[in-house]
Amino acid sequence: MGSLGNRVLRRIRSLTLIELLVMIAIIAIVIALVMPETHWAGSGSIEIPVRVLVFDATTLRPIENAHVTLVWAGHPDLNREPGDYERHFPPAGLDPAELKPYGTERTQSDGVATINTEFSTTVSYKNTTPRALLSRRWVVVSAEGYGTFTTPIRYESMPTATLRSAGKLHVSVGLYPAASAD
Amino acid sequence: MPRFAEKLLERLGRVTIAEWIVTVVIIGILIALLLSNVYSVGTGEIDVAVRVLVFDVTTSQPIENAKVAIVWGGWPHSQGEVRELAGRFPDADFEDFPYEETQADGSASIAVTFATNSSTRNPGRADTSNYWVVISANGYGMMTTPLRYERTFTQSLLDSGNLFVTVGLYRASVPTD
Repeated sequence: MGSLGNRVLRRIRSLTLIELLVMIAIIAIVIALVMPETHWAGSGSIEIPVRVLVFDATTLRPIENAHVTLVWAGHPDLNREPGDYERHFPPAGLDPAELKPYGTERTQSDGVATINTEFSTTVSYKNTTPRALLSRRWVVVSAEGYGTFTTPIRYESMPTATLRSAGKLHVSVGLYPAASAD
Repeated sequence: MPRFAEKLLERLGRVTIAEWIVTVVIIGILIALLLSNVYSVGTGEIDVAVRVLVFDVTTSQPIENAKVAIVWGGWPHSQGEVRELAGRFPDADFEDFPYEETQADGSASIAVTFATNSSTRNPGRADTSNYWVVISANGYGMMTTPLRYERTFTQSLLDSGNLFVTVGLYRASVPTD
């Protein structure tokens, strides 16, 4: 070993415990500052029944035999320019007849249709709580004698644990008889 | 001075610095544990602009002059709870219900004051889950849907400045069979 190496070793041996600890702490801080920020993310999925309740908003009675379809569409963010709007909601983009929907059911006598749906989940170093991505899923509701409407089932993601604990996702839609708005 | 107190003072006089430090740390931990159980609650309200966008699904164009109202009600999980909403929804003419009409861009903005609450364990949330949006457009129909299904973080509302709702209407009934 060269003269320099010997001198360094001698110097290190002469350090007190406190000096060694301070050196280790300084080196650790420098490494932490120099190393690039760690980015990590994970994804998965959760299957959950979406329970859609359709009722007549004038009589508050359930609407039986209504069509309920879940489709994928753009994020329902209103704060977009019209151009963006068309890009995210292309003409007929939510037409269940043209889309491969996640599922279509008819409501039962209690006005409820249940569709089992798989949602993507995500977790990252910034949001360590796993969340289910719900906001790009829209429900299309249509009933004889009423209109046809679509609305997002949710506007924000939801913690996966909350969703799993609830066991289902509720959606409610009230329809007025077709002549109401004409 | 009682004998017991004299003994205690004598013992305290012999406590080393290290013992003092350990004692102070233990007392600090105990206080922190006790304080964590303190539960404080605060309430208030927040004014939020609810922006509703109404569009024609088949043409992807905004619908102008659609009537939009926000009404207070519960959020029904079941048909039985829906019946408790009697009298909450406007009739087809929005009689006695304030409403706004959508502009050329299909949006209508309605100011709503939401109740808020917060506690030491839960950050502030606005009660956005007890409101319904009612939308009506000539040639399309009329419907209502909850504004939100969950309460919304107050900070999120303050950051975004508004709460948006999007509803697509079909001019004619779309067959799904």
